[in-house]
Amino acid sequence: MPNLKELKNRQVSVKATQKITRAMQMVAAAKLNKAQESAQSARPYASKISIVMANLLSSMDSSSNAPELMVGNGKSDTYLLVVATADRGLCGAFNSNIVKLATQEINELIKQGKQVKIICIGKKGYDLIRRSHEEKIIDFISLKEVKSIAYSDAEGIGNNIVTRFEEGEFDICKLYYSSFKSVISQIPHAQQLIPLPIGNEVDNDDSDTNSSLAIYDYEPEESDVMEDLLPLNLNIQVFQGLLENAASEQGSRMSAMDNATRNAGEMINKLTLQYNRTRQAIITKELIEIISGAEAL
Amino acid sequence: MGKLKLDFVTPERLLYSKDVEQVIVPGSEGEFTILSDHSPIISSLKPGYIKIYEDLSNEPTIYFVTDGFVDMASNQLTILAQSAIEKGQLTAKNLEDIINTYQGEADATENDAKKNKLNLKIDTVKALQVEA
Repeated sequence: MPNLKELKNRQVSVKATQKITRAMQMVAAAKLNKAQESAQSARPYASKISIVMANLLSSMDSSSNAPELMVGNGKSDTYLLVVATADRGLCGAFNSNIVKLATQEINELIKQGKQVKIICIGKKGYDLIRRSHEEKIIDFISLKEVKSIAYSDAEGIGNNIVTRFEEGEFDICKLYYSSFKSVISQIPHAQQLIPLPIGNEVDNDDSDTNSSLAIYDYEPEESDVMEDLLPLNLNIQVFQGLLENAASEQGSRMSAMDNATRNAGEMINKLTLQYNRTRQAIITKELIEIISGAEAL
Repeated sequence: MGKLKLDFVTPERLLYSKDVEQVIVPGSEGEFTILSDHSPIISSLKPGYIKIYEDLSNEPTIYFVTDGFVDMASNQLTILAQSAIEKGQLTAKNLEDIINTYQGEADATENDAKKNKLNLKIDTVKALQVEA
């Protein structure tokens, strides 16, 4: 029979853990609100730019002289995978889900004989991927110092990607992140950044876009506008991905901590029951000893 | 006069979404005015002021923008600005910061065309600085 002091100690430590997980859950809930808000307020820009891109694509005269950022450089030998994860753990399967999806793709690509390069955003994914594919990681970006993701953070990453593309380091670029469906559902997601996947913007069924298939005036030249607009579009996609990721991370942490708090509660109940039983057993034992002692006299 | 629908967005938020009469934007080839039923145009922006006239008889709402695009199609004007500050809140330090960021980018890049573009932007902001 476990002794009373041991039981009491365990109870105390589980209670302390529960306090921590409950606090983390509440912090995550507050942060989730903020992250969701910023993800939502970034949405108009992203949807507007995709409408503009769709307009542009549909009114482009010929794709022969289209910039490489849009149509790719015609090769598909080297892949760059940008894997965005969190910098902190204790958020359920959030990080491992993203890494799992990315690792699947990595193995698939290696089987096909492609070259793979990886950029990690966030420490957790970096740690996980480093175990199996360390030599493929060409860059690691930590957003630990960043409290709430600003556009400039995404801009830095986007410019980094574009520079590498222009130097011919890779042919195709994909971004891995977790898209935020709801607090309890975050889905790891791969999005192609370079070349631009044509077609999926158009199904943005805005009635405005259909009527605007007019010929545009460009100021300055079409190619100059494209040159500016394409990197911008890429940056925005990265930005949107990071924001979704941030919201997903908090959502995931919130439900993970909610579970942990509930489990701790269950455990406390069990321990209390066991503690009380043991205590009663000891009292009964003592009584029996006294009574049998008295009888012996 | 007819109105046009304006959506003014930055990556961080939707800044302005209303029917307005006239908008003056600092296009990279020069300032121009957009009224309702303007022909379809896409233009990049240079640093400068966006003047929004909700009503021509009233004072305009003015924003300072650094980079961005305007897209006008079927009476829907979309301004995509990298960053926007309301004119009243714009300080000399803001402009200084912007110049410094551009300068840093210009120093970092090897690409001459890019450098020229950035230098052009720096000059524009400096001109605005003098004005203010």
